[in-house]
Amino acid sequence: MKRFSFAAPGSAREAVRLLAENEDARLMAGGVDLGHEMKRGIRSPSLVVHLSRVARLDGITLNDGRLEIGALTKIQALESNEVVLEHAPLLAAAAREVATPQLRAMGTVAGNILQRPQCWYYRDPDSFCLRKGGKHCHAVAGDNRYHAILGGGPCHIVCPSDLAPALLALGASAVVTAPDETERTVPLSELFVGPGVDPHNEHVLAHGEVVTRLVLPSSAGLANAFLKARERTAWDFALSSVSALCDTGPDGAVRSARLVLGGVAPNPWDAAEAAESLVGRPLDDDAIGAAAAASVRGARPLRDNAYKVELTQRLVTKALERLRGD
Amino acid sequence: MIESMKSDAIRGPGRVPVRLKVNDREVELSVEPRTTLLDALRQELNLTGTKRVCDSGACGACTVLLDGEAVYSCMTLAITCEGRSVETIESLTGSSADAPALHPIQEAFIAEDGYQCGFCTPGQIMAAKSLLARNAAPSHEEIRRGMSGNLCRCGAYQKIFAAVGRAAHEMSGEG
Amino acid sequence: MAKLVKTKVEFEGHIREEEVVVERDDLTAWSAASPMTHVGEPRPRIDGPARVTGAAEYTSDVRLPRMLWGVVKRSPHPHARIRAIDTSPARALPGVVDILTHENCGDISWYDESRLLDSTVRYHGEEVACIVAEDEQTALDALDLIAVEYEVLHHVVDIEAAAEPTAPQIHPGLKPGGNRTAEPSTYLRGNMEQGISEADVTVAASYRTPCALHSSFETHGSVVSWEADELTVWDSTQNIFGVRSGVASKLGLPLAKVRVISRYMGGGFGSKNDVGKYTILAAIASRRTGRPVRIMLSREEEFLSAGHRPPAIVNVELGAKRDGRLTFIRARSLSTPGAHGRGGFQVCGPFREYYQCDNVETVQDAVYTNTGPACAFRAPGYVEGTFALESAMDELAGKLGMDPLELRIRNHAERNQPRDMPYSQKHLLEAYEQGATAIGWKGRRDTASPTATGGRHAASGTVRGIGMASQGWGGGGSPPSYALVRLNPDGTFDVMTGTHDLGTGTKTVMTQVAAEELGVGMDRIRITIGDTLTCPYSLLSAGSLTVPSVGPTVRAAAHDAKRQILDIAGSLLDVDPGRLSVADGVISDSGDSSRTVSVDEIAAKIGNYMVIGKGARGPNPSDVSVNTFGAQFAEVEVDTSTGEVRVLRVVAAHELGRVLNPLTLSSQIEGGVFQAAGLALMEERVLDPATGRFVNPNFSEYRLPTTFDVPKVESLFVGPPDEQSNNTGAKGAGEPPIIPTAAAIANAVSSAIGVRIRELPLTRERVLAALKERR
Repeated sequence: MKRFSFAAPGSAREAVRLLAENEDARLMAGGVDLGHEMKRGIRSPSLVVHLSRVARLDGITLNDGRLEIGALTKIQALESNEVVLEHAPLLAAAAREVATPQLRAMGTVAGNILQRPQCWYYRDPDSFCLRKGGKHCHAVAGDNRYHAILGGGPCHIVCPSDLAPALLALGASAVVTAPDETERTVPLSELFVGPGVDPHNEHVLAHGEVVTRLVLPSSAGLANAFLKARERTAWDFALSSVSALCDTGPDGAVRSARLVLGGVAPNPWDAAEAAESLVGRPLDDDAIGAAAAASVRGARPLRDNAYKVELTQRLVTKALERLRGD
Repeated sequence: MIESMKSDAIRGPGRVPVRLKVNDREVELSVEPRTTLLDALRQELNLTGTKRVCDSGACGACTVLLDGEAVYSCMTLAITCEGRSVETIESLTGSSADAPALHPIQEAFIAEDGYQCGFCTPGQIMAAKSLLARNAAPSHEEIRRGMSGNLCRCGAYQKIFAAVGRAAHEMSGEG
Repeated sequence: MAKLVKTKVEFEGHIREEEVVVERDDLTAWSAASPMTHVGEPRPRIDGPARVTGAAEYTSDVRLPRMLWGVVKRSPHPHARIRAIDTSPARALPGVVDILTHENCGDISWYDESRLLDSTVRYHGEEVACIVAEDEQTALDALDLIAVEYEVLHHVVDIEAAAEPTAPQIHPGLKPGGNRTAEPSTYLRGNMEQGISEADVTVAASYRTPCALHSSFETHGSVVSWEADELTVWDSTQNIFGVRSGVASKLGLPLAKVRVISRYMGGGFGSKNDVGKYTILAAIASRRTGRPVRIMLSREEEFLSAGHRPPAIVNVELGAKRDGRLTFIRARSLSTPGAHGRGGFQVCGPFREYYQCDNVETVQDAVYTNTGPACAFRAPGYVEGTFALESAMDELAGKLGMDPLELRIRNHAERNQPRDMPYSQKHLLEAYEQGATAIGWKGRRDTASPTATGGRHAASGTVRGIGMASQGWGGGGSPPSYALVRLNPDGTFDVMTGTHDLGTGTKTVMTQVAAEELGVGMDRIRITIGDTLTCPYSLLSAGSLTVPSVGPTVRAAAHDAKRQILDIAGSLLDVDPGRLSVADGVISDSGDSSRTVSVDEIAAKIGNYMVIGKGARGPNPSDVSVNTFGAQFAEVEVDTSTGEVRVLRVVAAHELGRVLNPLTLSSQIEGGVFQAAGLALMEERVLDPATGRFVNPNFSEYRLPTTFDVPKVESLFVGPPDEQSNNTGAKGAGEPPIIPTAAAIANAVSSAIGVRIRELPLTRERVLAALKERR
């Protein structure tokens, strides 16, 4: 790890100012993901702005049927918090599948959704890949068993987060403080950006902008399921994950549904077409089969990862069967 | 002496003083901001019970308690522990060097053979302490889950589960 | 009186004859009926408190005054020539004390065909330079300041590609050429043509196992310190005497000037059998700087350069009569030692030994590749070979419509066929029977067999299957090994033997053996191991050697001490020492139980006149082969929608002779099973096809089993003590549990889903592909 200076400001405003004044300063929250990049020499900021002393950036509250989750809320808090369990059980389920007890105690919700890709070429300090400013995506000619099947190109990373797809499915927005101290609200559907638009960043936040909290509507009572396929039973990033949410009317017909995939595309992948296809009909086998097929429509697998197409379809099927109560 | 720090003071990149509590003792470290808690414990304080194995938050061997919470010390910067309390494996043992009083978790690891080479053991024991503080009577599945952030390459898992179960039993006073 | 005799020594599937110095070994083996106080009891580890408190000092914990910290600069390329190295910016960094490169480290040969630091690098991670500095961080900072100009050469990392005549040559001058490490090693018995013509049913298939990394939690490394011309090396090793001779030979030192210490070590699994470059680099830097030097590898370096189980491809053909009797076995293996060394692991050993068959042909081939050097990894060769053979046996059973266990019973080998001699004892059939009962083999349905219709459905979308596989391994131990037992004036004993405790419990079981023989409590004994200066020679701790080699040695030394104590007691009590025995620290006359004297009283009486017992490991029996045998049964659950495999249960039934300590032995069994579960399900080195670089050298992407990935293991020990093996009747257990597990798991998966997967690990991708094949 290269040397750096350190500051732990007492307010978000000061943090924003420090970032604005130092072009290669980086924010640190839980420190796990940035620490990992810094240890490998992938990023070497000259200043680390640590958020631990910033007050009121953590905590979970319910206001007018909307959940507000402080950006620095620890992932472990989402697992067992009563408000989350009642109003966003999908998020609690996703939080339980993140990493390990220690990492859930260290990592924050904002850090988790903004974590950098796990691509082994990106994480290799000796590999100067497209995402790091190089000319090529090394996954194309390399071993791409874990890379994107949807939305990839020219870079083929996948979204490593479990919370981001769940939050997107839940219709969450990020509240962001800008260097001029204004606040803006960015829906998660607009927060992430694919490599076709920007091969170097996974989100639209500018340098100096700080996510202070996430807001999302209550999904109390809606059927939901979070399923994650991985090589190892625990402590593993998703080969594919499905965040599914569904509102079913008294007649058994689906009124609305959300399906968001993780681990298969550079960003949380909103399988909107698949979710739409469910609306207005009961969750029967035909509907589930059609939605599963639609969820991976347009998939363009690389040499080594075609299995993820089938895996994702099966995971979607399983998730929808679970929503049905199987 | 450390001057009282302005909250937005920029510190480093050279060595800076960091005050924290380690095993109930106030200590003042002189470390660079990039120094991890693990390296500070092992290299500055010579507390070598905490092991460096993966140095990337992927094995659990460096687990310590930070304000009572189990964390990976290899992915925690020492400077972020300013004013906080750290407990390492060395905190569990009684003070007498001749007849160190073992913690019930340590006794249970010995009785159940919950280790082989012993290199992951300090981290396992600290993770177990954190688990039992949250859940005094964990089920088998809860033990699996609570201990899932600690790998053991020798493969002592089955006996680690037994050791944690035994320790829970002993500590609840039923033993 | 000492004399030279010839004895056969088996090590990891290789048999060789050695001349050994034999001293008196007049001890008869403990029999099954011998009453035992300590041996056979589930004793907790005597060094438990040190291990659970963090007080145990491992090599990586050694801190010496004025110690420098060393780090190694490594090649980012799999094959390159070093054109130039500029170390001056690194030298200019305050705190940097010395830098070694191929230009200044001396001409020390390594791997026969390379140098300690060579101007050609042949794998990603090969050593290029070494920096020592006042602290670790400074040394690491200096790494980036060393500028190396490489001429990148063509590389080849795939074993099949390396065997092609057009492949880039890794050692162009070396015979026999074409990247071959040697002429293929062949074995033939009987008449293959006849065996083929007699076969009613045949199977032929190719099986692949991945490169797996030991991943010892303590990495390789040393702390070295010179005092005048004497060198002390703290090393994380399973072979202190081997490291001593390696260091002495590389540095041109007399053996007596080198001391190697390994008191606690954090796992080895075969990877720490030899002297490492880090040790020699540290020793050279220490001599140049006049200060102690520590070099411990980082986790990434451990992955890149500290050894592994190399990938293997095994082509198998089996033929059998309709009744299942094998008429021929043919196997051809291809593997690689990496970029250096000769390899030579016995991948085809299982084909020659496991089953009764008159006609057997095996060919073992190996080629160099631009990958890190391979080394022994817990049953080297046998894990790979057993996966191939035991998978093929199940495929043969499927074709014959026969129960796979029945097929194995019909082909039970009564004799050691390659060595053409009987076994000292073999209780494999009991292991089959007990293991089958414990797992519920009879209730099993086999989808792979044409007589069955489908796996047992445990829940919607999941199927379960049970599979099994056999293992055969040496484990008989060998000379040379020596121990000393000293009586102190207070009645306590020192036991000294130059063995190791890798986490296996060596110290504890050796203390049990000594206590048993001496007739005193274990708390009266202090054992010292892992120090070449204070301990007599013992073998490396590998190949399941330690218990059957050092155990009888410690017993012999304790017996020698006891004999002297009883002689003294005899003169004190005025009785024939032959009538005396000792139990619980009290010596008594078998004819007159009122005449007693305690060991403490004798010790106090003789004071500093020391009783020193000496023991040596005797030769192996010349007319029988001593082996371990076993069978493991695995039950798995496969999610047919997502391809997830979970291993629910493993029953491990092994014949290991006498059980010295069932607590630590069952730990060994469980550990072997869990490591093999990793091999079967998730562990795999990934090399970039374009650049030849190792892309997953870390615990995030090289996955080890977690608490959720391990099955419940039930260990069963069958058969009596092996009284012909050695005076304790115990055999080695390090390797046996890892050998059959992956095959048993793969057979269980095949049984569950009805499709055979011939390549490990059983990833989601492979299982999904197999399920697709089924539909």
